[in-house]
Amino acid sequence: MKVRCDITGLDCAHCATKLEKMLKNKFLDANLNYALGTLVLDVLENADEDEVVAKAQAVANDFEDGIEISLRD
Amino acid sequence: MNTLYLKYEKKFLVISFVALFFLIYQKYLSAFPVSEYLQLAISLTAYFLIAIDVVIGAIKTLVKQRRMSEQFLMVVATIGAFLLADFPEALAVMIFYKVGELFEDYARGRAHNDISSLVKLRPTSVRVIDESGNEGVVKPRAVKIGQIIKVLKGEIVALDGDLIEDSAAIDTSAITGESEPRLFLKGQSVPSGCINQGRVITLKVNTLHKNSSITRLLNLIEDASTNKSRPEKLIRRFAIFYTPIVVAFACILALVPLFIESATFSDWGERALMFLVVSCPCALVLSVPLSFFGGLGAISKKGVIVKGSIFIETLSKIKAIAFDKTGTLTYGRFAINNIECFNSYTKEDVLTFALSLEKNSTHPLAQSIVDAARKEGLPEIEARDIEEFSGLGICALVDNKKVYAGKDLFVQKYVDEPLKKVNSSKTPIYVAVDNKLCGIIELADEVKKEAKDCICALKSLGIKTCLISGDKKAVVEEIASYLGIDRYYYEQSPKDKIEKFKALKNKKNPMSFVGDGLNDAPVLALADVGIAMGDMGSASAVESADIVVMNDNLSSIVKTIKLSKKTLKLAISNMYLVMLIKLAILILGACGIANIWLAIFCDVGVLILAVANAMRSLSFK
Repeated sequence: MKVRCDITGLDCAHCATKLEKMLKNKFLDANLNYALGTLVLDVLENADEDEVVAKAQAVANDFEDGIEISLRD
Repeated sequence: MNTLYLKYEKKFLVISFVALFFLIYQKYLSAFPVSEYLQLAISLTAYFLIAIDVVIGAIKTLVKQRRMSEQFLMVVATIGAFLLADFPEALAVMIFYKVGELFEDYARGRAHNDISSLVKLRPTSVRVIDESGNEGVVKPRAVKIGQIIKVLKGEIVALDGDLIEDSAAIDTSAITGESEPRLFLKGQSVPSGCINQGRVITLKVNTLHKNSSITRLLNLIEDASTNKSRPEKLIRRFAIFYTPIVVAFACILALVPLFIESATFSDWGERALMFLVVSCPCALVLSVPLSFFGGLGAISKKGVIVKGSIFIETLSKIKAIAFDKTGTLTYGRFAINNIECFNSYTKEDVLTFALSLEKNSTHPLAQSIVDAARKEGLPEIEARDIEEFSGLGICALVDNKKVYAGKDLFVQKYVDEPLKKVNSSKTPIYVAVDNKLCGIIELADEVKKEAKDCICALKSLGIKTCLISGDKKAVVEEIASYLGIDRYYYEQSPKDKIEKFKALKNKKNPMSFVGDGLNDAPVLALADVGIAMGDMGSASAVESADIVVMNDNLSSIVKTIKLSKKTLKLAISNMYLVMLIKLAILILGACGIANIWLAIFCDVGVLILAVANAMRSLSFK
């Protein structure tokens, strides 16, 4: 299952690749598109979307301040 | 606190710029400089005004993750400069680091808005009408299948739905790149992402938001980042090693004076600082993917979706393209090619009789005849005693005459004279009236009108063309020679197609396959670049192909190849530009030829240059 989020507050393209690497370790897969400001997380079927986002946000908080991940409407 | 700071960030930046000029004047130009302490005080104040968030961020990552971030390296570089009493330099490093960041933000914002008109069309709300006729605005996620939604003039269709009104003019340009509005009729499904141009329309939702056409397309664009091209992979790997290596070199340079007596700390310290200044690979990490992304965006404006930069790269190197015939080079619908008349009947007679009969048939060929006859404005005479022989033909009473229409074998039974055979590249429908042959309607699958130009343009790009079709020899031969296709293979079963394509592909050059995605999905998957044609992107085409042509127009393929070539060239030139400039500064810096000023300007300069260059791809035509 794919959870699609918007991500804001990233400082630079290089940091984005680092954060993506950290997220890849926490989820089945993670794809961060710095230019579009989008984050796609691969998670197990039937996972709770809000929980997934919260988990991703926690990873981002550990990484840097000011990053916000929100679920796409 | 953070937002408050952001609000004043630009003002602070201006203040520190003023401070910077003052310090430069004091240090290099003024005959009677003010005291060093005053200079230090001014530079420190300006420094903290702009750098406080950087310093805090650097310390946080250091403590939390025991990791040296770019911000940390910048802070170290500036502290080093302060220690060496290079106040303007220290301030300049931070100011230009900030300027670079702001520029990155700007570039990203532009890219976000510009990359694809699709992204802008992401609907955020939808008007739902409930059973009692009340209107409410909800999020597209919340709408269920079967609900009625209303779309005002100029609004974006948020969800796929069947049209309830008789007709509607819809702008599909975001999806197909086609500027002409398209007419939708009652009951037809209007895809989301289109814009309603005419009166207010209501739609009965037929797909959930997460499966709607606009969501599917947006997802494609997003997921495209997974399929990275080689230059992108290369710079990602490069970026991982670049910073640690540069920082290691900086440390070594700083330690040189310990071992060589003649070396001074201030000289070598400055060289080390220079390394730190250029230690961020951001210019590279941003500009190369941005070039590709801009290219993807420019291509999407032509109504073509590319599922990743790797396909831009492969497509620009393509040497051969194989085409499927039906639905790809042809429209996949039959049109009347010729009408031959016998026994003093006229063409109108033949068509009139055919129309009376065939409008009672559901056969696709019958439909083509009916369409053509109606277009001619011929009278519709009602037929009686209709009898249809499935797959053979149809007979009925028209004007008290017994009329037959169908295959030669069928009609022959009712005609006295032997029937004339026709060119086997056509599909003939024989029409007989009262045991006499009246006429032969020759039907052929219509070749797309842009097909010839497309093949011609591909040839001029040095790309070989090839036709693999399941159709008869005569049909394939004729189309291939008409279009000027280099090679053709006929009477190929779907399995044969796979074998044939494998054999062709076996050579070193990448090869593409163009199909309609309906029955050639395996070949599309097999190709180095599978291109699916289809109107508004049928689900199967979108899934099996690497590139989806949304407007069913062959000339889009040529445009896509040209844009891919341009994009790849831009990305690679950007990569070399950044790498060479950075390398040059590092070498000059290590030898003590360059100074910090050069490093600062090169670092920010190359970022701005590379990103601005990359953004050119957004406006590729």
